[in-house]
Amino acid sequence: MGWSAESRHLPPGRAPGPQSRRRTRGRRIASWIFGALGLFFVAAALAVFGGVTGESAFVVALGLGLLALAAGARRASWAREARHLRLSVDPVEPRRGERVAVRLDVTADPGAGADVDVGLVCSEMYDYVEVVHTSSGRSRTRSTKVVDAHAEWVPAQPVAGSQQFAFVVPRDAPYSYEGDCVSWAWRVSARQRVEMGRDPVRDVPVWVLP
Amino acid sequence: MSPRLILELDRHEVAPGDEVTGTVVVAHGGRSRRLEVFLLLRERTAEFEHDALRIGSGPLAEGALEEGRSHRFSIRLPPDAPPQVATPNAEVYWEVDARSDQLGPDAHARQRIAVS
Repeated sequence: MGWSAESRHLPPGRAPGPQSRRRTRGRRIASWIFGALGLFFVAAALAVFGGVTGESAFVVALGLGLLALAAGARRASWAREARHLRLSVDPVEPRRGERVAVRLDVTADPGAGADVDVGLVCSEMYDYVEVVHTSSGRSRTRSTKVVDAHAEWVPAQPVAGSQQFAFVVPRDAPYSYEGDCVSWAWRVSARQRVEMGRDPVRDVPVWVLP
Repeated sequence: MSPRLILELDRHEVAPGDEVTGTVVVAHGGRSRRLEVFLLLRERTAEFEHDALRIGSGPLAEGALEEGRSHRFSIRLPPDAPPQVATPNAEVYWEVDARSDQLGPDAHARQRIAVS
């Protein structure tokens, strides 16, 4: 979905709700478990074999893989940050039906033929029961699905410099809300589409009032 | 027999800061600890529900509920009350819930209101 960080999906002064805190807690727990297992495997392989040898290489690689998973679990998403794209948004707390002015500053030439978009996006996070089938049976866990409740993208000029955009928050769209089983989070986003790999993005959270 | 309640609202569309008023009619009397009306801000997905906000009227009656008796109530909607929202996956809405607290399952009478 393009989020660049955890509860930084909220603008300053807005606190995460129960659902956001629960999601962050889950990621932290996963990160600790992967990290601990990864360190154990690496340390055990080095202790037993005295270094990276033919026998220990697989175990060390497994441990490093778990450490990478631990690092990834700490992030809210796998989005890359677009350092060459900067956004200014006004107002950062619009009402539904209100116009939002956006300025995009491209600080480095994205390259010929690059695709750069600017968008106004609302992510909906809603809880559901996930059924997982394992060798020992079925387990049901509470999970959160993230979908776009609203997404309006417009192309930007792929050149260095400043550009102006304007969006109108739809009157019948969800307002910003941090709940227990549903949340709606808005952002202005700039992204550069890449053919292979993750699109680098720059997000500015906004709080849409009813 | 468990009490049965009927909830009658004076208005189904209100604005933030308005008084939500109505009457709870005891259609069928019975044992009860307490009768109270609540104004609820509710969240709902296909598999989960949650009361994000709950404002009570205070007890309207205590003890056994008399059949045919009417109880008036008034609850102020918060001035920053958000309006209802619905998407294909979830919704947030306001509901008035008249509840008889009793031994066993409580009796309820519920109606949604629209907040502008």
